[in-house]
Amino acid sequence: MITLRGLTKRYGENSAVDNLSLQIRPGVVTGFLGPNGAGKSTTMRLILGLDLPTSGEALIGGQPYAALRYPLREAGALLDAKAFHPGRSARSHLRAMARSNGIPARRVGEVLDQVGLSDVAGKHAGSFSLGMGQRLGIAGALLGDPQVLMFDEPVNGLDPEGVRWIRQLFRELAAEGRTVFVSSHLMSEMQMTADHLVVIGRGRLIADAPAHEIIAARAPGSVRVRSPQPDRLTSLRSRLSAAGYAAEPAGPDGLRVRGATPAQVGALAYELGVQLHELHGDDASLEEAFMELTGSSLEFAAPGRTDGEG
Amino acid sequence: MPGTVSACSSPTLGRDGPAATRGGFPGAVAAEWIKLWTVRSTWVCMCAVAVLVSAFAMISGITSPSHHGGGGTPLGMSAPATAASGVFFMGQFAALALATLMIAGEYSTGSIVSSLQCVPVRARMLLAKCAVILPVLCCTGVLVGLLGTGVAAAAMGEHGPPVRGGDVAVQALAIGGYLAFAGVIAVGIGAAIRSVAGTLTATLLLTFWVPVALQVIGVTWLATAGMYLPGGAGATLLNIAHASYGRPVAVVILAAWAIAAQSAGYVVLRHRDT
Repeated sequence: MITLRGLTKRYGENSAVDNLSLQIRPGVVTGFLGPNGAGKSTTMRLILGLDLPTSGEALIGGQPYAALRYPLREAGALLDAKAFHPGRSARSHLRAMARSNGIPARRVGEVLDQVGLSDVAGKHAGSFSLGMGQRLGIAGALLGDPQVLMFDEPVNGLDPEGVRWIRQLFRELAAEGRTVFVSSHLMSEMQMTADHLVVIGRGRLIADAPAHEIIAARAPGSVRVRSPQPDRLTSLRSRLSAAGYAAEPAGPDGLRVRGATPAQVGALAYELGVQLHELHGDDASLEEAFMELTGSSLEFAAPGRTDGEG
Repeated sequence: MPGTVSACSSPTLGRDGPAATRGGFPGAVAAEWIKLWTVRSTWVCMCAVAVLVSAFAMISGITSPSHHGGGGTPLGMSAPATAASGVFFMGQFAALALATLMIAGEYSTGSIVSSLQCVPVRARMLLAKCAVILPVLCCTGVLVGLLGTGVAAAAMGEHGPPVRGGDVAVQALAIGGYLAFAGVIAVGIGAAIRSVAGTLTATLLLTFWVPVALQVIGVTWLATAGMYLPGGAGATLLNIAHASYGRPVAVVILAAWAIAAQSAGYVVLRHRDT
């Protein structure tokens, strides 16, 4: 369980994190979504006590991270794929981490196996690709077998197989009753992985709800139709509006209909004798929901913002 | 790269699990010890200290005035003093590079994030680094002191001043003590400054350049002030400069600087974002 209470981080005038209060619960994968610069990494750094909050607090199992007796056994985190000395081997890196928290040395071999780095464990971590660096970071997060796990943009640099692997890993960790908190700016990725979503924009909480609720509430499914008959398309549009479906032109010869199923649109088109070249249902996507949710938060973002923080 | 997906199911860990080996301060020290010896730069710095001191001792010994003394009384520095000079004028730079890399190097590589995740208590992290660098540089100092003395004595040959066992031991211990204090000062400065270049520059200014420059200027009170910097106290401890105070006071001055540097480092660590 991760608890944020009024967590705020200001840099001069700018708020990177603005009065965030929420709980990240065990047993589910919680996606942490927001556009680049929304304050996701800063929030995670505040949770780990790497940065100091301007006000508010972040607690892990009811305690600040720095107050944990064996922090790696309670919370594991992958923040930065390059958080290791490039001249040190993966095994030595993990061995030092294990010793610092009284974790038995055999765990080093176990997590190296688990992330698939056993064959390169003796190589300098600096020679690793980004994806291998991510795996080493994940190994470090798993090392203490903690109840709370945080991953900042874990998919970056992973090949498709790695992406599939990590999704499955998150599912398993959550199924074991752990708290799994995963940030991403890739909505499509979160749609595949997360049960619960926390969406922030410009440091503020925008949504905190089950993923399916956010998708259903914000972005109903839509249907695309195309017809070579512009007149009949116009009458179809009026007919759809009369039936309570919002339809808007999409391209010179098409319509996009919201809130309707392809069957409903097809039935009305048949009724009016409209010749259709296309009738296609688009599933509601988190992408759309996300754009809708964060649209207003992006609107006011200064165009010159270059703090590169995710 | 196929990764086996298996949950970490080790039942002995987690928050309630027993510690197979201790964490806390001993764990932090053990981790620093492992980190120190698992990067090549540590060995490079150690070898550099030995090479620099030996080279200085050899050249100094061969060109020692006692060779040209025409059979009269032995002149010039004794072999232990030559070793001490070699450490102060050359060897300490490599030793301080080692101490600098230990902390500022973590900022430059980004591994400080991992270190603070492992040991989030700032004072514990800093003290663990001191607990490792202090004995390591102390032993290094004693060993290169003995090595330098041997090289200098060999290079001077029979013309050199007589070498007394007591002198050798005291000088080697003084070298070890000086490097240990200087290393702790460098770690404190590194925690405060964070960049490798900045830390090395600041440390070397305090342990060498400023005290030497103040001597060169030739104004008495400036030279006296310089003797209270780590470099001045170090030269006094090494018995290659003479201050108005003795070796015990030199140790006190070095300890005071070490505490000051560590305090500065702690304050920055505690109050500045990583």
